[in-house]
This record gives sequence, structure tokens and C-alpha cells, in this order.
Amino acid sequence: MRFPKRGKIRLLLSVGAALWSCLTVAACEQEPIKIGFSGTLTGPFSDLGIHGRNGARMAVETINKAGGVHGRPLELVVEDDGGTPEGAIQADRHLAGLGVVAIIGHMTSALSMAALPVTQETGVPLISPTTSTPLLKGRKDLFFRVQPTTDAAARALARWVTGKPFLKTVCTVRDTRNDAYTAPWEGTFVAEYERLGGKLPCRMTYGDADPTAVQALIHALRVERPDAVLLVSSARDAAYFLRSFASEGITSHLLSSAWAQTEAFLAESGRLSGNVIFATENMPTDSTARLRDFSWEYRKRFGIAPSFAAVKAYDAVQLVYSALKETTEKREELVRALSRSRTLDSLYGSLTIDAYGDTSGPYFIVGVKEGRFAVLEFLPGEAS
Amino acid sequence: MTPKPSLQDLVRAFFFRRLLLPFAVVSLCALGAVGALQLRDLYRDHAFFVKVLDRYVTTLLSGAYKTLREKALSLEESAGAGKELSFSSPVGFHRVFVFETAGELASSPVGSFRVPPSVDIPLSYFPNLDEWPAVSVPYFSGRLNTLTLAVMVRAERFAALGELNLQSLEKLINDFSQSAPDNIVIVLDQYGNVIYHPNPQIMRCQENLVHEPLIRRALTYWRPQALFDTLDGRFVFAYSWRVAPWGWILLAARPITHALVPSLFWGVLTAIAAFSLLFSLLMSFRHRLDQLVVRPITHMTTVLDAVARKRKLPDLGPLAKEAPFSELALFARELERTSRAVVEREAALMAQGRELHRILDSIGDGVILTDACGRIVRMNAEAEHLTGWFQTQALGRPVGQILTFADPKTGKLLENLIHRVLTSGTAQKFPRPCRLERRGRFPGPCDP
Repeated sequence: MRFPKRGKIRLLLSVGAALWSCLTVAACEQEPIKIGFSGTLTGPFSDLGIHGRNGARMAVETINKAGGVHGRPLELVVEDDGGTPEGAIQADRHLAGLGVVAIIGHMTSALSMAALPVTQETGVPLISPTTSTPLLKGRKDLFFRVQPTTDAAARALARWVTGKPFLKTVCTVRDTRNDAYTAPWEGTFVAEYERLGGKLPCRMTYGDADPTAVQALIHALRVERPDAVLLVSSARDAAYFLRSFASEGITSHLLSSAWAQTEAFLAESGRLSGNVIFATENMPTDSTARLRDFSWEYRKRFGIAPSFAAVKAYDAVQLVYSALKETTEKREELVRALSRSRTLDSLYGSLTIDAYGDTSGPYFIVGVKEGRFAVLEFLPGEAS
Repeated sequence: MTPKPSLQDLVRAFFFRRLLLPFAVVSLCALGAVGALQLRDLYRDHAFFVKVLDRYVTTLLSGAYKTLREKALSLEESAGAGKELSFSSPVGFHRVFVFETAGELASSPVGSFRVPPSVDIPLSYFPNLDEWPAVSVPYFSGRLNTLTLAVMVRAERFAALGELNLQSLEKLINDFSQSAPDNIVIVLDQYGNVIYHPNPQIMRCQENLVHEPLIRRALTYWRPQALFDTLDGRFVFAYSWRVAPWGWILLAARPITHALVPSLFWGVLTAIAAFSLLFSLLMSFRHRLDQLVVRPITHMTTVLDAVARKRKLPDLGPLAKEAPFSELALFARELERTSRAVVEREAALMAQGRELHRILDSIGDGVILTDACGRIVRMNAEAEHLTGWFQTQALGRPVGQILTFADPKTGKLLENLIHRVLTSGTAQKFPRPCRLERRGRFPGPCDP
């Protein structure tokens, strides 16, 4: 054997370099587009965040199975905002640093509002699945959502309550930890209810659902004896109040918002759940064939039934996907695409999203029948 | 003619072909064998631990099921119908509730399942209460501040519902992980929901890991399986085991970087060291070869060159004395002796030639010597006299130009006798009479 000549070595090096280039180019072509998810995965409001994360992950997997965006797969990067404004800011900054093109989140209005300055600063659009506060309505910013604003639902509930002969007086109870959501919701309800001639003997707030706070509320309700109590609270708190009221003999009808409409409420309130009526933008997840299909797939994937948060997070990722298809993965172009008015064929039906990123759709009165959420009445929607 | 490779090239090619290349191949094979052995050991360790874990989980869940069933049946058989009992911390559980349910349990959906208000265990976390065994997906209980699962057992009229205490399971896994910190042990339910994970935050977040390629593959196997795939962006070697009939997946894994890199690192380092040693050996050998063989041979060629160019012979005595091996010394001595003999012989020949030349010049006949082409190379004084050409003028000229013969009567030039000699190669006699045409003088007879 002769010692390898330089020509041969050069040829081998060239072939190696060419192969490496091909592999590098191929790898670059397959590089995923990162989408962030920032939600509350721990703590008392974690049911929304966990279902939201699961729904977003299902959407990403569905999109990737269908070929991704222009051949590139999506990758979901998950961060826990810890349920605090500081956590939300930190999570969003971290996600922006990781190079995500958009963030799906947050799951509550208070955290979305807290994170908005970071969104503006980093230029990463925030697409919230469940934020429904009207405080963010009509703004030209980087905030988008697939959840209709709550003020219309609150007004619809006020009109619905006003027509009922057995509901003459209503007391309100709201959680101040999510003021961005609960304050407008309760305020809109009160304003509309009073406009229609209704009486509100008491308006109460709480910061922590501990026994002392509950006792104070129960005492007030015993004094006022309202026909109905409106609970603008999380699912766990609503279930806790429900059980406490039942054990203390409070017989008022209970009204609540979409925030409490989760499986956690059903789980923790047991058979008492049938005593609550929700004014909501979200249909139960077995109301339509598409929702039933989604619910079946979700059960197969995670072992439990999805909540509206999962459905909304799925739709939020689909919104980002539809915008990404119209553009490249550059953030500026994505924001421009998201800012275009569009109709999203969501799992809940057709949603109209305007240039401000606000969504409008129908509303429902939902109750619990045989341990499942069921639509009791359709309420006419309002233009947002 | 293609140039021959140098001795250095030959030696280098020989070393490359016979030493370095086989060494590289053997090194690669050895590294592969080391890696395979490492993986085999890892496989055995993981298989052993996972079997222990399987036995533990089976005992835990079977015991839990048995405890719940006994509690439900004991309440049913007692006179306590209509009562609800709760146990704060029975063995294996955080809490247990035993309560009377509505009739037609088997067909009743979760929502219509009559659970007393005091029972705050989420029934919605049970994938299917109608199937046996009824175990919920894992969930993080804020009240207990830990991850747990609910197990439900139904008797005729009563049902027992308990939240599993997984602390002992975590302790067992932690003990194993402490003995081998690079190992990753993950316990999942049949949907890929995390029951145990080394990262507590993942447990708190109730993460589902099916999006990880390794977990997705592990969930497809019902039998113990060795797997090689990515987990959290790292390639891992794993061993998975499904705990029947609960459907839990036990997974013991180790990143390839941790499993193979240390041994491969030392293996590669050893190979590089050995390779470097061999290479330095080769370089040293080449240097010595150059010093001992190549340079002396080059020096000896100067002797031959001096012989050829009739220059003064270089002295090979020191080389013969200082030659590092006897063959070279002998060769140097012989070369010097031979070279001197050749030089002396050549000097003798030259002296003899000069003597012959003098004899040739002194004889009375004209003598002209030509080469095979008939060009004059030598002529004596008598030939100069006869032809009228000086030797210095005639050298190199065709002999026919110097020697021309003519008929003395007619003056006609005769046949070129020299040409006939050159072509026939035999001696020829001059024709008579003839006359030699001399340069610038009167012609002379052919045979004076």
C-alpha cells in the first residue's frame, strides 16, 4: 500500500465538508419554531394552567403531525408563572430569552396585565387563552386572546337574573387576588343589574379562602339573606364556599363565572355542584361533535376530561399557527399577521378576532347535570 | 521511469500500514467493546432496580387495594350502614374515606356517583371508575402539599376511596439515585402522567411526558424493554417496565454522556497516548535511520562522484571508524579501497595511453584513427605530413574529407575507400596506382 496522496486527502476532506454542510443545512431546515406557554402550573389556580398547557401541547402535536409550519415543527416551551405577577414577568422574560416567537398565556387576567409591559418590552406577542378582562379591550398592543371579554357575559347574567321571580336580591363575592378579572366582571354585573332595577344588599371581597374569611362571609349572608350569591372566584374557592355554605345552612342560589367552570370544581364540590349556575363564554366540552372528538383525544392523551382552558389554549395555538402560516417566524411579521382581523374556526365554533386582538362570540348559562357541565340557555352575544 | 520512493517514505508507509492503521482499528474495536460492556452493566443495574421497584409498587398498590376493600367490606358487614368514616393516615395512604354510595354503581357515571360532601378527593381525575383497578391520574394536592393518586374500591353498598402516600416509593428511588446520581428514575401512569420524577417541579406541575420521544416509546411496550432515545433533549439509555395491572411505567435511564463518556474518555485518552507514543517512536526511528543509514549512504555517493569526476577522493576512514554498525563500516572500507583501486588503475591506463601515443607519433607510416561514423579521433605526425592537415584541424572531421584518392593518369577521384571500410567492417587494400590528394601541396603516392 502506498501512503495516501495529498489529492486523495483533499478529496476526502471535500467530501466530508460537503456531507457536513448537507447535514447542517438539513438540520437547520428541521429546526423547530419555538412557542412559549406561560401559565400557573402550581398553586390554587393551577387547574387552568395545567389544562391550558395540555391543550397547547395537543395543538402543537396536531400541527406537527400535519407537517408543521412550512415544513418546520413547532416546539412548546413551558414556564410556570407561579400565579404571581413577579412570576409572570420572570417567566415571560425567560421565554423571550429562549427565542420563542409568541407566548401562549397567561391564564388569568391579573397575570396577563402584569406581564403586558414585558410583552411590549421584548416584542414577543402574548396570546391568552382565558384572559377575559375588559381592561385590555380595544388596545393596539401585543396582547391577543381567544376568550371573549367578560363584561358582556356579566351583563347577560344580570339580564337573565332580573327576569327570574325567585331571584329578587343578589349578593356578590369576589376574589381580590385576580382583581383584573373579578372587579370588571362583578362591576359590570352590578351596574347592569342595578340599571335594570335589581337590589344588591351586599358586595363582598376576600383575599384568601381561609375559615375566618368564610365565616365573615357566612355571617353577612345570614344577615342579608339574599336570593342568590354571585361568586366571582376560582374553581377551588367556589367549591370551598359551596361546601361551607351547605354545611352552614345557607340556601341561596349560587351564580358564578367561567373562571370556576373547571373539572376541579366538579371534583371538589361533588353533588353540590348542581346548585351553581355559570354565566360563561365556554360551552361544556361535550356539547358539539368537534368538542367531543377533542375531549376523546384529550382523555386518551392525559387520562382526564379537558376543561375550557384546554380548549382555549388549543385554539390559541391554532391562532398562532394560522398567523405563522401567513408569514415567516419573525416576530414583527407575526405581530402584523396577528393584528389582521380574522375569523378563527375554533373548537367552540366561529370566533371573530378584531384588529385589537379582542374576540367576540356567544354566551351561555351553564349548569351541572349528572356531574357534567350542561348548557341551560344560550344568551345573545354582543359585538365586542 | 517513475521516481522511486525514498527510504523515509517507504518506512513511513510501512509504519502507517503495518502499525498505525491496525492500531487505530484495534483501538476503535476496543472502545466499542468498552462501550458495549458499559451498556451491558448499565442494563443489568437498571433491570435489577426496576424489578425491585416493580415488586415494591405491586406490593404497595395491592396492599392499598386490599386495605380499601377490607375497610369497605367491614363497614358493609357492620351495623354502620349510612355512616361515613374517614381515616387520617392509614398505612400506605394519606387519607381514606369509606362511604355509602347510590345503587347501580357499575353503570353510574362519575358525576352521578354519590359522594358525601366531606370527601374532597377529585373523582374527575379517575380515567374510568367502571374499570378495575380504579386509580386516578396523579395530581398535586395543595392540602397535602404533595403529589398523590386516588384509589377507589367498591363493595356492594359502600365504597372506599384513598389518597396514596408515595413517600416510601420516593424514598426507595432516592436511595437508589443517591447510590448512582447519574441515574434518572421516572414513574408514570399509563397516560404518561408523572408519578415520580427527580425534578420536584415537574411533579408539582402535574406534567405529562408523552411529548418526550423516550416516554412515547416506553408507553408502546407491554414487556420490559431497553430503549435508546432522547429525554429532555439528551440521548439516554433506558430500561422500561410496565407494572401490571396498574399500567404504571417504571423507567430507569442514564444519559449516554454519563453512561459512556467517562470510560470512553479514558479509553480515547489511552489510545491517544499510545498513538502519540507510536508516532514519536516512528519519528525517532526515522531520525535514527536518517542519521545511521541515509546520511552515510549520501556521503559515500560523493566518493563515487569524485571517482567519476576524477576529483580528489574524500576520506572515508572516519566514516568507517565511526560507523554505528559493522556492515556499514565494512561497506565504507570496501568502497574506499575499491575507489582507490579504480583511480590507480585509471592513472596507469592514462600513462599507458600516453606512451602509445608517443610510439604512434614516432613511426614512419601515416596512421589515422576514426570512430564508427568515420570522424577522425587521432592521427600521427606522418599522417599530418601526408594529408597536409594538422591533427588539431582534422579532429572531428569526416575522414573522407581528409583522405581523397585519385587516378594518377586521369586525375579522376576514386571510389571512397574509407566508406567501404566503414560499411563492410573489413580491411581494404588501396587500388594501384592511386594518388593521395593533399591539402595545399602536390599529391603524393598512395603507398609511399
